Amino acid sequence: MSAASAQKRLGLPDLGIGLGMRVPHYEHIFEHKPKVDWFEVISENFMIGGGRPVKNLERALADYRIVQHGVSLSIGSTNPLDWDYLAKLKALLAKTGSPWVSDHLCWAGSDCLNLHDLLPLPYTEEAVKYVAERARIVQDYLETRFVIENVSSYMTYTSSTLSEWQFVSAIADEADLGILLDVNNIYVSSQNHGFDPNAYVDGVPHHRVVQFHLAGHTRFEKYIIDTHSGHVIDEVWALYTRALQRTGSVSTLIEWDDEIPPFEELAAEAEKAREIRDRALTAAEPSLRARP
Amino acid sequence: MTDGTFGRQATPPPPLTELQRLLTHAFRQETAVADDAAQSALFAVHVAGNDRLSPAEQVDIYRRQFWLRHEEVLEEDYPGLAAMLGSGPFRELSVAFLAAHPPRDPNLRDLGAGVPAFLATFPGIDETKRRAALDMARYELAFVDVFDALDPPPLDANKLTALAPDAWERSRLVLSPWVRRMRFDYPVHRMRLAARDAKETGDLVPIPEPQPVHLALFRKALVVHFEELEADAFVLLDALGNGETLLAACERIASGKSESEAQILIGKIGQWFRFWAANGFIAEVVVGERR
Repeated sequence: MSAASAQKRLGLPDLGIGLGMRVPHYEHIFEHKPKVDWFEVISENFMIGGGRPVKNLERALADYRIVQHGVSLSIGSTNPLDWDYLAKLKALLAKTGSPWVSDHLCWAGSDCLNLHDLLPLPYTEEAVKYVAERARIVQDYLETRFVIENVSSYMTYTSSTLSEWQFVSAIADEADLGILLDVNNIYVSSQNHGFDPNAYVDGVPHHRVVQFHLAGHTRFEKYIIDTHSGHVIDEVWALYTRALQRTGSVSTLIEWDDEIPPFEELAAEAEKAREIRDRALTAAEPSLRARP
Repeated sequence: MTDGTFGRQATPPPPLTELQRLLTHAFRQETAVADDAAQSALFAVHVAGNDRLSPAEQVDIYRRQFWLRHEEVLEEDYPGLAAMLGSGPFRELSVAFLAAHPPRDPNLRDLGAGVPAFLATFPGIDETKRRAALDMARYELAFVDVFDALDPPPLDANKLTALAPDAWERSRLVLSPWVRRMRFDYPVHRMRLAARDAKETGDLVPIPEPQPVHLALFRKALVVHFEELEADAFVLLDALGNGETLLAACERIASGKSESEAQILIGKIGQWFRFWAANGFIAEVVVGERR
């Protein structure tokens, strides 16, 4: 895949503004077929035998472009890669035709356990090498561009020698991966750990960014949790604008997973993203404005 | 490229293995790391903390999430069991279960698959409730399985109409992967419906006197349904599901019946088959060789 690596978005398409497909909206989507550029689905929800989830996916595929996003691969775990899981993931990719497949740059458990969390890794050179090797194996096997997402974190390690963005960038470069830049996660982690979110946005390899995530979060007394609840806040919109001015047009997705609002409210958030994106790209360099 | 890739593994660096092992252990503890001086000292070596949170408090954020997330999944999968036991005892069961059976599968769907077996010997349950609770757990686990079981290819109606009358006797029916036939000592289907109402009020669902019931659990229009079966219908469906020929299965339930009882049974078998066929219970008909 290295021939495409120097290209903007690694040569992958800009799909426009998408929404996370969630159960409370299925009826509305299938009945009204609202105009949405694309939907993101959680891969694991459809790596099953049959029934309603599979039927819903087939209905969605009939009308919309679907991109797969996973939560359980655990690419940074010291557990061996789960080949049964990967085989199911690959079978689902054959069905959805997802142009790329993403999951989180995290670990989820050791000793063959999976704690179903997105746990941060220590930002070290040896972790870069290890995770990049696993990611390369995964990408080769899936035969689809593998894209890593930066996670929100509530903990950092004494052993870290790199910044988070150096860590993400090094793995993406070494394994030739795409990056799903979750702008809300950058904001949340910057607040929790006290770094400059602008430096993060400026510091990643922009041609590798193939997707953005935008979401709300919940602020507690001493830390912020990435709950995907509520509207995107102004500071995150500002970071998104800054990122777009460096990456050019990139597929963008609104996530909303807690206290899920009516579909219309979610769609309005997507329209807001579209307006902000159009404004940001108008202000960007001409070479970054054009969509393919 | 794929053939050479399948099964490959990378070797993890030992410090990363050790760190992940320590944290995995800590996240699964019920008590706060911050309340344990030895654990707090241990994590001060590995976790940075900040001016608002100590290293142990940072670890505890993830530890709390572990329990919240998995207890919530168990409650979603076993709402009837939770309503029978009450929220406190159900939580005790969940915590003990998760401690004994920590999650391994990437998919949360199978998290609670071991609950019925665990419940059979769990010492923390009120003994007067154990049998009913076991029935409910088996029933609710079947709901999870039926909900997303594989869809069989559609039954070929032409193949059925082309079958010679004598071929039916030698035929074996393959049941749809989403048909479960289950026998219980308690009317769990009615208790689970009561649990749905009780959720609004928070009341415990009372356990009735034992009353054997036979149920078929199946999927229709993507929704899981139950059907209460007569004892003979259950035996017949179960025999068919176990691969007996139609003739052998029918003989099994006709055995010992008087002629008048057998006549009534023949009428009922027709009704049962019409229901099973109309609801997609039969996925395939395999005709055996003539002897």
